[in-house]
Amino acid sequence: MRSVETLFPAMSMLAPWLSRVAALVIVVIVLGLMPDIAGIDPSQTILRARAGQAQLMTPEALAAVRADLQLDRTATERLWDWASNALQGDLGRSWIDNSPVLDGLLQTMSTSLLLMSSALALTFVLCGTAVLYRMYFWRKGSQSSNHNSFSTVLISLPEYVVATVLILVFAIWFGLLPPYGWQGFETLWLPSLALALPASGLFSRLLGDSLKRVLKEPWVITWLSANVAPNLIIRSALKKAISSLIPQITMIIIGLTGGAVAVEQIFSIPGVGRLILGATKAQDLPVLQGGLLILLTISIAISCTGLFLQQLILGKSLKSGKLISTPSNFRFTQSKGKRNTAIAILLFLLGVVVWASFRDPYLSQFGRLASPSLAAPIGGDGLGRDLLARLGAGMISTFQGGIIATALSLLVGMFMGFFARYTQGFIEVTKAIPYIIAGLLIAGIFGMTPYSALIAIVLVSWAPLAAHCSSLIMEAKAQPYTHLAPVWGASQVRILRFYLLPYILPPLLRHALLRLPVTTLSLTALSFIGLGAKPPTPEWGLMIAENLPYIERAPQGVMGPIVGLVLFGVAINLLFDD
Amino acid sequence: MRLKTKLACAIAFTLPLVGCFDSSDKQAEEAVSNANASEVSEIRLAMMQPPRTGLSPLSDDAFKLSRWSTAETLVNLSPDSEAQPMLATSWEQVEPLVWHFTIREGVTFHNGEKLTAKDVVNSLQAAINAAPKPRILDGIDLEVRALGDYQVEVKTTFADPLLPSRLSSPQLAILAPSAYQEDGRVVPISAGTGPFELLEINGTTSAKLERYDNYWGEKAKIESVIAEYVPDGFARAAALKTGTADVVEAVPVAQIATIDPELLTEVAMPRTNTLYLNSDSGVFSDIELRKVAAAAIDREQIVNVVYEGHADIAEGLLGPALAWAAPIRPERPELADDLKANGESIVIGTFTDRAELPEVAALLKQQLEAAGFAVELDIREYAQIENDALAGKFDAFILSRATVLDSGDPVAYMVSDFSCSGSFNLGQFCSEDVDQALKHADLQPLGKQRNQAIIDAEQAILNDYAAVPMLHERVIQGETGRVSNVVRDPSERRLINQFTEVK
Repeated sequence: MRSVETLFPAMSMLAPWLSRVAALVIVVIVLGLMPDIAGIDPSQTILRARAGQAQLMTPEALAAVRADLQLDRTATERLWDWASNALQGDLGRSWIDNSPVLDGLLQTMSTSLLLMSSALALTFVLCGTAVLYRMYFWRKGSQSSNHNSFSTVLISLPEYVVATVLILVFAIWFGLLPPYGWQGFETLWLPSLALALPASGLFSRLLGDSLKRVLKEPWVITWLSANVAPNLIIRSALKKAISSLIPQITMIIIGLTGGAVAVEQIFSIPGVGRLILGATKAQDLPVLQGGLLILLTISIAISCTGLFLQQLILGKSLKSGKLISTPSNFRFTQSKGKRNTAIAILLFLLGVVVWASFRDPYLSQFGRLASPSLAAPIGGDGLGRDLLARLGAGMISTFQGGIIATALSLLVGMFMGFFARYTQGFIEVTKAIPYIIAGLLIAGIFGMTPYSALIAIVLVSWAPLAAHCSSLIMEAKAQPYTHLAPVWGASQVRILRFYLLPYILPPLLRHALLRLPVTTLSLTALSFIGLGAKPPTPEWGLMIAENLPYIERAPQGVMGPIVGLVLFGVAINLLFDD
Repeated sequence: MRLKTKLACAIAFTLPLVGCFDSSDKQAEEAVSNANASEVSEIRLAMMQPPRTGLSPLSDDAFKLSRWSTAETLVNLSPDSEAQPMLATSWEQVEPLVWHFTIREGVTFHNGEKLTAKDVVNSLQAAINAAPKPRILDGIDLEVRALGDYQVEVKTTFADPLLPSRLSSPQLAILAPSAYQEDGRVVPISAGTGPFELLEINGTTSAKLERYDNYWGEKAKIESVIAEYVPDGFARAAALKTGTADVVEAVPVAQIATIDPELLTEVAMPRTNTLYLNSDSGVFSDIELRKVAAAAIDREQIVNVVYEGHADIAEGLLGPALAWAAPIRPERPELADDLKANGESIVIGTFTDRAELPEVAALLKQQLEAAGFAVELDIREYAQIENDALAGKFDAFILSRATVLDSGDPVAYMVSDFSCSGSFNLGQFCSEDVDQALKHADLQPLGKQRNQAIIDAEQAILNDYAAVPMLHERVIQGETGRVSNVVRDPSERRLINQFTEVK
């Protein structure tokens, strides 16, 4: 790696850009070849999309569609035609309604960007509050971990649940805001909030973690003893904490742009996520290719701005090896109280599993949405099945799937993070693809294998970890001792083992654990497409989806799995807290 | 420093905001003016499906145009599926294969142009040339030409008793030439003839209509209609509860219990929830096992638990929406109670697009397992499962099926689902007797004779246990107390018309 860089200095400058272009080209080509790989005739799905389910799929109708779309061309011809037009700024016409792709994209894109900005603004407001709160405690000399648990709750809530609860509370109960639509400011609040709450949970957690680390650095003690005003220290600490988080912030922003599919669907907002989702389902390749191309380009632009800002803030200290910070560590908590709480929570969860194992999770034995009683401690679901039994029976397999997916994402993310220069484009590209769309694409390409859901989720969730990893490596390399290591003859392997890994692993593991609940849920949420868990298995994501329509009548069906996830998240966090 | 970065952030993020608000400011103003207008007479609709193809009448979107009474057809179909005059005042079968339609005089399109036979031919020809052809024309070749300013000749390839009914399909709406654009798209803005003029199409968000004062019939009572598309069932129910919309399409069963019953109306729908059994391969190729499955299904439990009683138990393939069917249907033979399977394992497929189907599947699994089957479910999105279902990869498939197509006649549905060459034959079912019966039914003239032939064909299908009809769904429509005379149409063709009023 080193020799390549010394041989071609330009190479190291160009590598990220080459990888970006490569990533875009690969995505577009794979999309273009999708019908051929999957062996599904697009004329069928287009026919369905144009005419609806009641249309009879006669050979005559299919032939008409095929002729209309010139589907007799080979995939290569199609790709070539598309690419040569795209280079001239013509993204073609939709296969479904023959409208120009670019017009539709620009319109939906502006909607999505507006939604993203307002969600982002809300996120910053919420995080600002969290930071002020934390600083208040730091000044008083104590570290509060209360809001850690609160942010764990926020992170564990999937957006579609937040959205439904918001409609219930603000539109139905209080009647303050319209339940859906996209007309004027008052319709902007609920969807923005639905996006901002989980995002701010994640952001404030990462920021808190980073801040904690920064405040333990040697310079803080020096400054404190030199009687520097605490406000100044806080400002410097914040600046440093944020700068190392910029790649994470960009990831969150990117996630808000394309990842809002569920929220757009619920609030019926004409955003780009919905457009692409529709195109994916119908195999409307021109819209799909054009849409993802623009979405990915925006994602790359956001990420580049972030990287540029980071360079600007950290400035020279990155290159000259003058960044001094203490590595954080990852070990079991030393506090007895926290350990006991964590163990108590885990024992409680285990108790639920054991209790539930004596009950039948499949049989409709109670009334529809039966309320809690002695026979059914937390009631029944829509079919009168025992919720407790389903909760317990699903716990182990749900966590198992989530942990495997998270571990795989961590491994892939770390590996890619080490070579961020060459994988930069792929990091930015995969993060921008909403997981539902990734699921549909994987289903199209690999078919309905048992592992499709896992592949899809790992595919879209390694990127934030890789981005985090690469920025940590950058920091670690900027530490004086790493910088000087080659001088006293430390080998590459030694540097990796004793200098880099101890620095990057602890925060990365924490980050992965933070994402565990969301990864777990999205894994099982894909089952509605037909990927992953099959009904009627009591997988938690499936349970949430099944019970969401009844949230007003029997909230325990949705709350059960979410409380379980939150408890698990809190326990794990307590266990590895300082 | 922190202030500076904050400032920079604030500026960076407000800039695009400002840019976007330009357009939504207009929308906001519009919303305000709309709010004023509602004091005049405006109706807000919450529709279920967003348009597929920008409201082109050649696709499924045609039903929206007819639900809003903006596009009209030559013929109207009465609630009893009888053809009535609309844009055509009369018609005549001059030869077995030739029909003459007289076009109504004095009709103007919303853009002011006069309706003539030329426009009728133009619209029908566009439908005939469409890819795909509107489903009502499936397997049917029509030749259309103008005989004068107000007469149109239609030639068919066989003596088709249903031709006038076919022409009532919303997909064969007559639009002004301005709607048909050069690139092949059809944009129905100000191009219809109905009591409401379509003014704005805002993509998959909303559409706006206003009263057309030169309508040929009785003028509309309300001034404007705003239709919004709300695909999420929970949000649609919320619209009704909060009064955000006056009329709400398809309220999901799961939400009914939380809504004031005064706001809801129910109409039996020509839709049957059917379990198709694969009679070609696997466990159910044995008719005895098909009987076991048919006997095992407890329809009442499904209707009560999943539909909370808002559905009708099915006696045959055709439900109460076709009122003539039940009286002439013979009593079905009772199946023995003690039929049991011996642990044969079957896979039942269904899809998630209709929210109730996965729940029906879960209940069916329990019922069939109680009868001795070992059941596995395969539930996916419709688009992901259709191919496998058509290829016969499942032992059984649960489908919610529309039983009459746009002509109001169920023969086409039966042919496609149960004839040997049927294009939607999920059960891979093939029987000479049934084919014969269907062929016979299709040639009967409308009326008693045809109805009897249809029921005979239905019984032939049921006697072979090719499919087990479970229940008939209902259209559950929400209306606030502010509106009256909203059409409650089981075939989902009409919703708002000239008689609809605001109190």
